Amino acid sequence: MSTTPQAVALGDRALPPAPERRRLTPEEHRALARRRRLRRELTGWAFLGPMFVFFVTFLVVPVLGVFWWSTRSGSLTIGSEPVGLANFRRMPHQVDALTAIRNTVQFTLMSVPLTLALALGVALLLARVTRGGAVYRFLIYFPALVPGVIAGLIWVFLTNVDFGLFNTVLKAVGQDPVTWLGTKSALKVVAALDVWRSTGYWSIFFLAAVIGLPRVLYQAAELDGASGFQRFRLLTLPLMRRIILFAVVVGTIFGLQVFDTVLILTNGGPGTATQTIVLRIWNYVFSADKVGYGAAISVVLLLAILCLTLAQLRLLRSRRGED
Amino acid sequence: MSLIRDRRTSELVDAYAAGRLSRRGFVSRLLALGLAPAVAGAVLAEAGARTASAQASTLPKDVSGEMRFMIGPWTDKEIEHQETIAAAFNQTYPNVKFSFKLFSWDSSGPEIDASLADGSHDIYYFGEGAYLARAKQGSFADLTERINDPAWADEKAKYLYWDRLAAYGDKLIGLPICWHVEDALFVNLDKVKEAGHDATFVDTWDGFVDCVTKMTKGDETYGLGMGMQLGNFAEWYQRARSAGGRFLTEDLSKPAINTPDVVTETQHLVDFFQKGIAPPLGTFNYDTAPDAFIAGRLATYSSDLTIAAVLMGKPKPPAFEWAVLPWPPGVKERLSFNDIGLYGMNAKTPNPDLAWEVLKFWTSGPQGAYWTAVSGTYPARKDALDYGFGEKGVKQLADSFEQFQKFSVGPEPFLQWGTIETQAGQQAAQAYSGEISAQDAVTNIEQIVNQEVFG
Repeated sequence: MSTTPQAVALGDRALPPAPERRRLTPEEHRALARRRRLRRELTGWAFLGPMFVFFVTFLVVPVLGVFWWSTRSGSLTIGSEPVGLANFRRMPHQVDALTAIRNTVQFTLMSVPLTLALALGVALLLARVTRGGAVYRFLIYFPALVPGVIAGLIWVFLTNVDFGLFNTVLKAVGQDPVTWLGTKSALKVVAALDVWRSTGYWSIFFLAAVIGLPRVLYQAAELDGASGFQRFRLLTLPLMRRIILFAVVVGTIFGLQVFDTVLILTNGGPGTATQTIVLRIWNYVFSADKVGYGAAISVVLLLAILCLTLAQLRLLRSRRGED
Repeated sequence: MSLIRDRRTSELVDAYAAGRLSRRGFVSRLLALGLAPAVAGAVLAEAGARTASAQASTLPKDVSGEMRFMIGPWTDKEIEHQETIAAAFNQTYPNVKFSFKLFSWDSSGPEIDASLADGSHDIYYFGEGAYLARAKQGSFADLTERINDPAWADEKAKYLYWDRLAAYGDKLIGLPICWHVEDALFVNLDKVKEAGHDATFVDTWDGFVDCVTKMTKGDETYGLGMGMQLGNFAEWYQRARSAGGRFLTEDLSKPAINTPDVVTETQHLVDFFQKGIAPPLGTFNYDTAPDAFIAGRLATYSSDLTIAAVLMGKPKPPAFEWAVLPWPPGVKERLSFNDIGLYGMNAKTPNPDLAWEVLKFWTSGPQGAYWTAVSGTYPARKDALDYGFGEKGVKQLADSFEQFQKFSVGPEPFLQWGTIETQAGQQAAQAYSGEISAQDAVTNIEQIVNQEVFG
């Protein structure tokens, strides 16, 4: 049978001949494939584009701006001039420079370990709950949904000397009321607020990890006679190393950037008792209109967090091969 | 005989009268033309009269336009109060529309900057602490010519504190609307009487200490609440000034704060905490202190005048007799620290003549008296009492208006004042809580002055 296209008679009408099915050359194939790939790439970039624009506009440009401002003196109000590294050289001589650093580090050391330990405990408990688990998870997670400003206001009322919940309880059990936001205790209260707010957040992370742990290992350990604590120490902790590492790094970064709750609860006071690094930056930029100096402190904080994170990663990943 | 006969002199006078040439520029160009100083002075006077007659002309009654305000919320009814004044203005100029945007006090600087830059508002409220920076910035219209217009001299004389604004330089960028006492004493007079004193207990330091000591009843009632004022306005600076201290000398050439008298005065404040007369820092704050005062937990306490309106606005205002009084004399003198509030206009405003008319109206006797009375602050006018200041607002403020005026002192005229005051307050607070000595606090403050101004 001939494959040559020809008119097919169909009554009085004739159909046009079918077009010849042309074979594509390898070059044409490649060109088509290239075009398809390009279209896929363009589609991908089209979806990524808006996010990328926001990323550049609201992160890359401001970060570069901070570096630029850190080498300038002056303000948003009356203009600025380049001063080289003078802002950085000035920092060590600043009165109370160490106070803000010490408070921030103390806050982080109080808040992060306690938060993560509690979150892990809560996650292990939640993993055992079989009925009403969703309700418990919501209740545990709820403080994380509260914005920092609202959380600060809630704790203002909790810690009020005359009508706050904490002192009401103390008075009910015959104890003297406490000045919770006094010089000695204010930083601890701010750390407690952070623990209250962050525990639920991390416990949900840990819960997801706990649920995903291989049951068979625990069953084997039980058969081998391992106690609950041994299973936790020798199985749970090593298996959750990665998520714990992530939590320690991110929790530390959050801790070093503490700001909103301090602003609302104590505004850095009494005196400088709760003065933190970011609060100080905020004061320089928005109250004192010293954008350059505030930016220089921001750069130092950024580099410090970067170094600390790298050190944490190195330390905590040192036994990676055992995972 | 007219002195303005030469063509070039005449051109200069026209430029000056039209506001294209500053007074200083006008005089220096007259001198450059070869006129003797006395002749140049006479020309200036004659040109001033011509300028005055031009500026005295009022706007036509049918003038139209919109005046956009950016202001701070003194009370939760700020917009309502502003609209009341706008309605009064519209009785004369019915075709002028008004809009009011409130800034947040915490971020007022950046908000005003952004607005000035894009010209989105015409009139702004700003405080004396920002005056110098604003004058240097140049985004506010220079009102010097208008304010110094001889035709407006009588009205100008009714405003207070031109001398203080003059300390910031030759350029005038605002009309004062109020002056706000930052550290007044709110006094429970019933408790004062129980302690065997009367309202004059603040007239001597010894009387003051005796009274607040006697009013203290353990941790049930503290004789004096202090250390809870907001931001830049903690009472330590006022007390340091009362002891003859200043952050900088009069000529702004070096620190003048670390003196034995300032240390003594600081120690006086520390003593209140150490003796339990003042509640430990953190017990009460700016927001909770009014309730503590009403409940009798604080027999007296130090805060800004706004608290008077706050107290009267409470569901249960003080059920006792109370007063607002100045702090007692210090080691050297008796002073009451305050800062002036002003209205200025954006240099980019499309209708500066209308904006000027609005500024004058807003700060005039009747309107100034009304707004300050309902906002809990003092009017920057000598004739405020004639216009009913104190009849509408809190009586206690009007009662002490003249007394505070007598001891009035403002911030020092240099850019870094606010930054230093914030840090100084923190040092003082560390001394109050016993972390450092009074001497260390004052030494640190001197170091801060050096770093901020000369470092």
